[in-house]
This record gives sequence, C-alpha cells and structure tokens, in this order.
Amino acid sequence: MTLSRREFLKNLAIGSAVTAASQLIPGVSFAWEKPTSQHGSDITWKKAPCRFCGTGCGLLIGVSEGRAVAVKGDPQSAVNKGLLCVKGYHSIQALYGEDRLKKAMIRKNGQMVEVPIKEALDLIAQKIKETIQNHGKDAVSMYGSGQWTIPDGYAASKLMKGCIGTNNLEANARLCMASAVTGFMTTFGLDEPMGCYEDMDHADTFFLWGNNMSEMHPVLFSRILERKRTHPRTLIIDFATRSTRTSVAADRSILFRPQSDLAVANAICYELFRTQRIDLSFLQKHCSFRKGKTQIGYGLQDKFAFQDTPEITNLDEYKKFLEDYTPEKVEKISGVSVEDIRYMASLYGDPTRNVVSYWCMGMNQHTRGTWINNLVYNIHLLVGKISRPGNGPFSLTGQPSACGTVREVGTLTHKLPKGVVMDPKARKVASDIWKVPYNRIPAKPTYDTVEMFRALDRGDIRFMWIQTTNPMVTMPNLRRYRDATKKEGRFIVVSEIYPTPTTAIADVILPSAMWIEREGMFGNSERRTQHWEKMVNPPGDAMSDTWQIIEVARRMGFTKEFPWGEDKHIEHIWNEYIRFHDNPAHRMADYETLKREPGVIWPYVNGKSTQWRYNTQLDPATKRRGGTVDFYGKPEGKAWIWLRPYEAAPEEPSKDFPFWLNTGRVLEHWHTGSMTRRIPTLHQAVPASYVELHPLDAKHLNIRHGDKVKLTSPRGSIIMNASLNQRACPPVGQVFVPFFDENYLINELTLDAYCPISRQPDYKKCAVRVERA
Amino acid sequence: MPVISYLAYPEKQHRADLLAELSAHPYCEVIPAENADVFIVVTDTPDRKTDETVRNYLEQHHGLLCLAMIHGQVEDPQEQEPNDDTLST
Repeated sequence: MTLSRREFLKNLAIGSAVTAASQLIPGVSFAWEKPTSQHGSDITWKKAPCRFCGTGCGLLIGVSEGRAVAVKGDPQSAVNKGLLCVKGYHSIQALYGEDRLKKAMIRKNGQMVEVPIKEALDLIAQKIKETIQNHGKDAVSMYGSGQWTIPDGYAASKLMKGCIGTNNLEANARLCMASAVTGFMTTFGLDEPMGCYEDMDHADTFFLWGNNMSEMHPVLFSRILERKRTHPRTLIIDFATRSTRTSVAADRSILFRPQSDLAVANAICYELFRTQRIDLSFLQKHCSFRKGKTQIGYGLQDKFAFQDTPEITNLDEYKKFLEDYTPEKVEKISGVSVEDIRYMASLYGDPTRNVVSYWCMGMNQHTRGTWINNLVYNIHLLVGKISRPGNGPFSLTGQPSACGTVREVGTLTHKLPKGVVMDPKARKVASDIWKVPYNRIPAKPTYDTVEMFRALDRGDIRFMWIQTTNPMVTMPNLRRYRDATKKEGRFIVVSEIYPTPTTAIADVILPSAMWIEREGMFGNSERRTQHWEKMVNPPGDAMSDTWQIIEVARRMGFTKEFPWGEDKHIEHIWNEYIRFHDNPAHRMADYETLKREPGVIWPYVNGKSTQWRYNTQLDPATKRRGGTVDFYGKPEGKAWIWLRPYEAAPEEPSKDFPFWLNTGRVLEHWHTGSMTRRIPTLHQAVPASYVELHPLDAKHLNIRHGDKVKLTSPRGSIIMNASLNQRACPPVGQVFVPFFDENYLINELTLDAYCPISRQPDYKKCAVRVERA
Repeated sequence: MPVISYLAYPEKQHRADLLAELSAHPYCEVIPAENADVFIVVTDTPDRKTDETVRNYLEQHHGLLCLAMIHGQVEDPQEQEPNDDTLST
C-alpha cells in the first residue's frame, strides 16, 4: 500500500494518541484501523467468545497463514467492550503447546499406543455395545463439560438419552453451578438470571457474596470499577471468607465464618422487617412463602437419596422464623458484627439505591448451596429490587458454556433440552424432535456427578466417556474416584487436547479439536449465545467433540439420528436444537443472526434480546398479570420466598484437624491449568500451587513464606509451599489452596459432601491439620 | 506544516455537539472512543500560525474538560524533501 508523507505523519500522530489513551483508560477502543505493514497485511480478524471463563468476552482472533497469531478485545461486544483479561489476551497460545495430543491412543498391554483415529472410534463403539450387552445400558456413561460447545452437549444428550436410552449423562458444571440452577428453579420455576451485565451500568450498590470477582471475573469487575469511577456514590461490598484483591478494591470488606452466610442472609431479612424497609406491595402481589425439609444431610453415603417437599406457609410464619436470626444472635454464629449486618440491610433496603448481588463458587459449592441461593433471592424479593435495570440477584458462571450447554441443552442426568426426564411431556417433545421411540428415553434420573463416579467404583457403571474436563484433578475425595477408574472391568475414554491426570487413567484417548479449530457456540452467564466459525485446522487427527460423538453414534447404528454432513453439521444441529425452545420464554436466535452478531441474549423475540426477564415492560413472555413483574416460571406467577435455616457444615475444624481448608482459583490459570500452564507467560506468573496462611498462624507454627507445609485431612496429605501476605490472606484458622496445579492434587484432601438438592459438592469447607514439613 | 494529535475529554452534556463541531472543522479530524468519553483530535494545518489559532480554539472550547497534546510534527515547507511525497510500507 502507498501512503503520502502527510498521511504517514497523521497515522503516526493518531497511533501515538491511541497508545496514550490505552495507557490511561485500559480497554479503550477507537474505530481506527492502523495501516498494516506488509507482514501484517494478510491477517484476517474473526470473532469468537473467550473460552476461559463464564463471562463470555468477545475476542477478535487474528489469523494468518492458517495460524492464530493475534488477539484483541472486540469493541463491538456488549460484554467486554474491547477489554480482555490476561487469559483472554494469551488464549490462542493454548492451541500451540508442544505436547498437544495429535493422535488417538489405545491402551495395549498396559501401554498407550498411537493408532489411526478410526480404529479408536471403532473400539469405543464396540465397547459401548459390549457393555450394554453384558451389563445393561445404565452401565454406560458420559461425563462432559461446561466447556463443551452447545453442539457437543446436544449431540451427547441425543446419543445418550435418545439413542442409547440411558440418563447416565453428567457434566462438570454439576461441580460449579448446580446450586444456582436449583436455587433459580425452586424460587422462580425457571433457570438462569433474570438480569444481564448491563445491570452494572445502572446499579450503585454491588454485593459480592463469597466472590473474588477481581480474579475470577476480572473484566466484569473492571466494569464495576468503571461504574464507581463515573458514579462516586457507588459502593462495593465484599462479603467473603478471606481477604482478596476484591476486598482491597471494595468499599467495605466483611468476613464471615464458613457456612454462616445462611445465617447472615436471614439476619439481613430480619433487619429489613425491623426497619420497615420491606416493599409490602411487591411482596403481596408477586411472592408467596414456602418451607422445606431441614436437617437434610450431606450426601456422603453411596446412593444418597433426598427429595424436598415444599410446604405452603405465610408471612407471619416467615417473620417468626426470622426471629432466630437477629443480628445479635447471628454475630455469634458468623463473626459478622451487628453493625455490619445492619449496614448491609440498610443498603439493600435503601429505596434510593439500585442493588445487584453477584456470586459464583462461594455460594454454589456449598452443602446448603440451594438454600443460600434461595436466601439471597429472598432479600431482593423483600425489597422488590429484581428484574429491573440495576437491580437483581445474579449468579456468575465459571465456565464458558455452563449455561449454554449444560443448563440450556440439559446435559445432566435429570434434564432434556427442554424440561426434565421425569415429565412425560418433555420426553414426548424430545422423542418427536429426535425421531426416536418415546419409551426409549428413561423417565428416571440415574446418577449425579459424584454418584456417577461412586457407581463406577461399585461397578454399576463399567464404561465412561469423558470429554473436555479433567475429573482426576477436580473430583473431591479424589483418591476414591481415581482408584475406581483403575478397577478391573472399567473402560475409560478421554477426549482431550493435552495429557492430563485424566488421560493418564484412560483406555482410549481421542485427540480433540480445540475452540477455534472447529465451529461452535457458547452460552455465557447472562443468557448470551455466541457463535464462532472454524478459523484454523486442528493438529494431526484431532477432531471436534461433536464429530467424535457423531462418528461413534453412526458406528452404533444411529446414522438416521445423526445424518448430517461434516461441512454443515453445526448449522443443522443448531436448527434442530432451537426447536426445543421455540416459545417466547426461551426463543433462541437463528443461525444466521448468531453468525452475524457478537452475541444475542435469549429470549430472542422479534429480533430483540430480552435483557430483563419477568419485567412486564421488557419481557415478551410475561402475561402482564398486573404489577411490574410476572414470575411466570411458577404457575401462579409468584416467586417463592423460602424459609431456609442455618445448618452447620458436615466437617468442621476439630482438635486433630483444626483449620478450615478452602480451595479455588487464581487469575492467571484456567481451572486445572491443563491449558494455561502451557502458556509460558501465565505459567511463569504463577508456576506452582501454594497454601495461603494467616501470618499469625504461620508465626505460631514457625512457618515462613516459601517454607514447605504439610496439610493433612482425614482423606490424605499434601506438602506444598507456604504463601504469606501475597495476593490474598485467609483469616486466622483458615487456609486456602488453588487447584490449578496437577502436581499438587488438593482434592485428595477435600470432602465429597454435597448439597442434597443440587448435588453440587462443597470445595470450600473441610478440616485440615497444618504442620511445617 | 504541523500535524498534532490530542486526547480531548468532552463535557458529557456537550459530547455530541462537540463531536459534530470538530468533525466539521476544516483543520481537525476527530476519532471518538467507542467505549469511553474521550476523543482523539488530529489537527493538520498549513503553517504554524494556523496551528496556533486552531490550538487556541481547542484550548478555549467550553465543551472540553481537558485537552492533552500527545504527538506533534512541525515541518516548515522548505524542510520537506522535494521528491519525498509518498512512502511505501
């Protein structure tokens, strides 16, 4: 290309200004394309959602000569408006790790041997058929992921439930958001948040419930900080069990004892009544009251069974129930001062404030996860701050398509793409769309994730196909489930992109195409569906998870159910899938719209996203029964306020194990680190896991920063380096360990207790002993 | 023949008017940020005197909260090499 000298000088001046602005305002973007050099002129930019958390940031991927070479934030994306976090900027490097799996492998005489992928696919189909013949169809299982694309999950559901006829389908999202689902379902009758990220542009009060947002959802946290910069009245309240970078940025950091968030939420409601901050008109029109079972257990036994039974109650009983949760009583349970409880209640109850509550794993990975979700909804319902811009409870998801794939397609044992397997109407819809016999879809759910691995241990399950997840790092009480996979007569297939502790226990490894090496869609936390096209070829024989499933299904004789050609199979799958949701409450955008737009929010009706569900002015699915909202997920159009008590955790610090152990993530690494630990910049930033201690505990135990520390729980021990006063600090009596590092399998220590309603395990609370190693 | 770039922070209520006014200015080019209240303003004037006039105009504009010069290239006509009218990249 040719530039005049003056054009060159002007471009230089503009480029300098863009650089300066970027330094001053991180993420700022201008509609100005820098003239490309000869070298860069062949870069093509294509849109994709980031695959490294549930935020769903829009990326622009630069592709040159068949290789992804650059990343920038997509300024057209309403999610991130051009900003990315460190994982997003480095995301494409995860495609090019040196030990990328390129060939299928089969275990022969104890050794993994490379084979043509067709041979591996033949063996998988044969093993499934043999297992069904010898042990029944419920001996076959599939364990997927919130990182599955929507077509991956759809193909898996159709194969397992519609073709094979077993409900042995689960996904790792059970470990990260199941409590949010059961919380939404029990309170509102429908899953997923009613609001959207644009709430951040309207709210002035942000409550973060056990949510280290600055590290886990950094781009969203930047949006909150920007709101605070431009609206000084904005307040951020960090309500957590340890001090983090989020606490530092917050206006008030309030620490509570593990599990006691249940009591504090009820105390906030007590205070709202005491100070007469209740929106009684809203309450009468839009809410009713329920109580359920109490002392419901912790799911620690095999074949644990629990069914809640909602019982109608009323406002008077509710107020009486709350009398057990005065701030004075709750201060003793939680360690949160009376003043802080009243302060939080005053913010929720202030009619001049717009309030959003955010949470993620802190509330969901909880043995009373459903309950604490219910209780936070209670607060918003009592003050009527819900389903309108800047007001609402909002559960953030950890994975890029925990919502889009696991929750919406329904890749869990009890779910179908629309409705649940227990519902004859839902089975009829599925059998009609899938063109399979109605009776083939079983009416009874089988195993949640923990129970699925227990069934593998017992021998009730003999075959498991694991895709896009790493359970041999993430399962709680890990030793039991790792040993289960090694038992005689078990056959494990793992679809992966890199060697992991899970591929280490596989009998067959299938090399998977990753992210932009295939076409796909994700659905993020705010009900936004985002499409991307295939941009580069996968290495070697690597194949998308969707196509792996189709290949195996056809080998099993299900060609009629999976008839599509490889070139357009994603489009065909999408068109079939959206038939399940063809109603105003959940309509999805058509394929062409998804290809064109940076993402759209369902319900997508008449060419418009629905940003605030249940709002009678904004949601086309409302029946406008009078008032500002219509909670149409419940038959009477009312949300349920639940009477949920505080109950203690199943394992608390004791004489032998005197510390709480909390586990979680760090900014630089994605979950088990199988991808981000192969990105040199991210790996070097946090090269190894560690244990955070409070300096007073460290002093008492004669431990200095960097010293080797031995952690022991009733289930195992681990030795790792101590971290003192670094990026975060737990209170006295607690330790924190990130789980991203497969060299330190902290889940060998964690407890496989779960919420009996959501069946999501609690990774935030168990008891350990801490010693200098 | 000065070419100068600025970062300009508009008063929120004057943003649209200011953008329209500067876009119509014969010596100014404006590139607004897509996601923040900031403009890049590039002035391209025939001589130093015009440049000074334009700069005064910007500095005194009531719709601007702040104006920061970022990059300047000031060349007198005689300094320009006669055959150097294009650059290939």
